[in-house]
Amino acid sequence: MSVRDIAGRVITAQLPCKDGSYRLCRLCLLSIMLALEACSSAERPEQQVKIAASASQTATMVLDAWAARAVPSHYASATLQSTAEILAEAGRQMQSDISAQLSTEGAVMTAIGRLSAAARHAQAGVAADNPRRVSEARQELKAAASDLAARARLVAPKP
Amino acid sequence: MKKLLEISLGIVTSVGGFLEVGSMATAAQAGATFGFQLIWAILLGTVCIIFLVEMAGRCAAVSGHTITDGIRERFGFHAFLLPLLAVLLVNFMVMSAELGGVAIAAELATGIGFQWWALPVAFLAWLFLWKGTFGFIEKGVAILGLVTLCFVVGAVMLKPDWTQVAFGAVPSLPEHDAANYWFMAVSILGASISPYLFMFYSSGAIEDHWDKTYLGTNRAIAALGMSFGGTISLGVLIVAALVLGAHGINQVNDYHQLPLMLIPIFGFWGFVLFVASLGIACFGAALEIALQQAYLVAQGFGWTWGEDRKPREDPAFCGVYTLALLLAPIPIMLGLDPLKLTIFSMAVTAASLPLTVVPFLFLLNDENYVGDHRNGIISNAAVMLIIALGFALAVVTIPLQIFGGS
Repeated sequence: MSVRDIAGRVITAQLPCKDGSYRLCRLCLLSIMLALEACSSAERPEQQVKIAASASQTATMVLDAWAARAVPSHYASATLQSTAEILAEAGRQMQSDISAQLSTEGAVMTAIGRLSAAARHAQAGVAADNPRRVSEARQELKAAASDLAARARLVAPKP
Repeated sequence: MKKLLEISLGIVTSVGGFLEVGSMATAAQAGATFGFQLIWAILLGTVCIIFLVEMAGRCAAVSGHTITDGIRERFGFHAFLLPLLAVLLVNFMVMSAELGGVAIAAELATGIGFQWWALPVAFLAWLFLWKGTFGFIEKGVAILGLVTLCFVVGAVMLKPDWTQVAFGAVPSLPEHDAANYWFMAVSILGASISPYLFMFYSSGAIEDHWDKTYLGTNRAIAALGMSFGGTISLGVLIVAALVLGAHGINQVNDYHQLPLMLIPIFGFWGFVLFVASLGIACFGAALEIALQQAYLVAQGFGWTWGEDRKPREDPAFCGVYTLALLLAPIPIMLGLDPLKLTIFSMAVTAASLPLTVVPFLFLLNDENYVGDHRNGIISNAAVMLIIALGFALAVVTIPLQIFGGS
């Protein structure tokens, strides 16, 4: 249930307050709900873009550490798998947003999808202990991250 | 000389035992997302816990009562039931999170999923409590916990701009993600002002047979131990800001991201140090919380209690920590994300603060308990600030956790 739905229920609800304080109670609850709605950023496309960008940087950093033999393979593999899942979830969240039907946001979703696929390729390369495959996946990841950064500027809210 | 040794050991114990999964996760998230901007929250939380720990030790040394014992006796059993149930529930969640922290460390070390580690870790903790003494639990694990100082070493090695760090000590408005910023601030406060920490400290003072001669020792341990402990949390925040934040990782929503903090500084040893820090710090905290659950119930019902006694001398006390350690791993075994559980349990901890701190304030102002050692204006003001903070945390944190936090 979204904050908007809850705010709607508050407007119509019969609150257990005395007559004089009834309006005040409802006003307070509404204010809290509206403040939360104004502050809440979890569902917005730009938040998903931030999550995706951060996840792609995580994947890059893990690959670099793995290549330098600074982390064990099982950790690198698990982190890349988890990163791919986070990216896929970010893509799903954007898709569920009605405004994602717009072409710019659709392009961002495509970039996130590419990132998720690149993270999966990297994970497969790490699991197979294949540095060449990992290196290719890293390039893929870098290209998709640049693509996301470019398209994300179009989604960012105007000042 | 003996007192100096006790103070040193007390400080070492406080430092080694300060960091746990909550302070580590919240400081790392805050540093990665907001750089040094939330340093003030760690400082405020540390000041609050210094006051509370000092009061807990003073109350025990002067009155010979633990906080739980005192509240039950002063307000009666029925009035005591609500705080008892609230603290038991909060402790249960925090203990699950700590066991989850150890399980994650085990997963990072072995590659075997954290769910499989929850029960063996709980069993190991139970074995420590069943066979160990209070001194062994308190000092042994805490001394190993000094490994967490690697975050302070790492922060210094990264050569941060200390002027910027100092600016972070002053509260400021966020430039982006306002909701997330305030949620992080209250999570850090919730993680720093853990009721189990000062309640455990008061039980420990009774276990160690403190009397009025320990008031100076208590003050030194509370002030220095907690300050140095807070420095480790600062170290985590600075390292997260300079490593994760600088690499563009500013959304920490997966525990796999955390070991990356120390790798650019120490290489492979950074990974090892992170795993050791997480495992030892969380294991120590899990032991303390399991004991605290037993202290709470045994002191609340007036049973015989004491970690230094043999299990056959206080079977009910031992039964409580056994049951606690049997139930706490269940959420982790069911696959609940330990990082999410940690953040949520910090919010609930914050919400429960007024329930424990208000009765504590009455106790610390009652001549029958603390005689001439009652709270002064500064102590009372500090406690009232903590109550106000606790209330604000309860009102703000939970809706943010549900609607806006991540």
